[in-house]
Amino acid sequence: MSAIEELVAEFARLPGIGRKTAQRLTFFLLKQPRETSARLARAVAALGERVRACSRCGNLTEADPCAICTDPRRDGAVVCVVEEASDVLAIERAGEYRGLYHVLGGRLSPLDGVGPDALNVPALLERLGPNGAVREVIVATNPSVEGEATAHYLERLLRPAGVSVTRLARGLPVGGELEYADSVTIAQALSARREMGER
Amino acid sequence: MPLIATPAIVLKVTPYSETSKIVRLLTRDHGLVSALARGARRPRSPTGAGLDLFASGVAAVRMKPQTDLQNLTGFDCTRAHANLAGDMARFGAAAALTELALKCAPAEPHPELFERLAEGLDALDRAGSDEADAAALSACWRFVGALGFEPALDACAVCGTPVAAPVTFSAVQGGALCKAHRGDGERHTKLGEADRDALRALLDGRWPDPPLDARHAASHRRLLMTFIRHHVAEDRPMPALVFWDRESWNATSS
Repeated sequence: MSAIEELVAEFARLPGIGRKTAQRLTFFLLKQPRETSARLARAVAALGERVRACSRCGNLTEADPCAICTDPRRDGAVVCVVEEASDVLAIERAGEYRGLYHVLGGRLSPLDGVGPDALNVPALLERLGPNGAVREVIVATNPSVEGEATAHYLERLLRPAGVSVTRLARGLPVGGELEYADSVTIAQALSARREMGER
Repeated sequence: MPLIATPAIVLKVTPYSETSKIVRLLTRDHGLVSALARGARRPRSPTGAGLDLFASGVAAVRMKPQTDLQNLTGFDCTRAHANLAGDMARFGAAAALTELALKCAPAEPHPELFERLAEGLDALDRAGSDEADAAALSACWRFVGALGFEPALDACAVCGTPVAAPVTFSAVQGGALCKAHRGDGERHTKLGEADRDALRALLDGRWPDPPLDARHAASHRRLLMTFIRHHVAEDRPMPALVFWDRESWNATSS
């Protein structure tokens, strides 16, 4: 296999990239100064060498434990459970949450053969052990059927540990219009309505 | 490119790019359809929230000839089946039923299979916790029956000779066997009168009377799984069936 074909094949393995896009990326790199390709290669190599999962929370990090787990300003009594490390970034962007995280590394998906054993659940239970200072676990899996099933599974496991298990609220998007919302979202927004003035 | 609107059930959802989803649908009028739902992952997408696993609704699809991936332009969700995520056994059963449709349904339109899947998911969604096992088993057996593999219960699956209870049932041979066709060395299941009546009720879409306890439900599940492996799944892996069996057992033993 030629170097071009090899790179096209590697690009095409990435999510959302088909063969044509892979070819376009490869030929773009060929037209760039050699240093551009070398920089990309170094960045990809560094990713594999330096980035790993945090041994406490499963978030992706270069230092173990990660910066969030070791930040003394964060509230160690609250743990937010997310499906993927990218969800940590999304919640951090909102700038509202000051607790810790736990990354499951996926969600229950029977059709893809992903069962409870494939998720980073034992480490979560360990964090809630007898000496744990965790008071609340926020289950922030996606509001899909698989995310909901994962949330129910976690709730069943976590309740006996004596912690409060909460779920992210669901409903209408901020800035959206009721007229254009779908019926599932409206139904969920209605069932999760709350008293005005509550925070 | 004709735009069609058809009742559809979502069998699989795969994220595609930053904003879209690829969905596999069982439709009543056009059989199995794969379609790209552009923008469905956006928070304000009109189709996004309802376009989830097990959801029933009306799909608007722009059909392109000579391509396997169509364009989904709308999905009006009529039943989200939210209860199916409420416990592991029910979730596993719904996934197993969906897996049957995903891997074993023919590509061509088959309205009876569509109805069986829709009825099965609805029944599982509505069933109380004491009825969930029966609803799941009945839904899967009826889907297998609509695929053309209903087991023989009253006559030998090989020669058609009437058989009386207790019945020697062979999942491999396709049902009850007469004395002449009970091969040596093959594993059979003995079905007493009550067990045969329970299986007949499940195939007819009724709950067995008396209701199945956890041990009997597990036995029926194993029988169904062996039957599916031999007659429907062939060599295809069926991870959702395995998930259903394991999680149902965990639920009853915990």
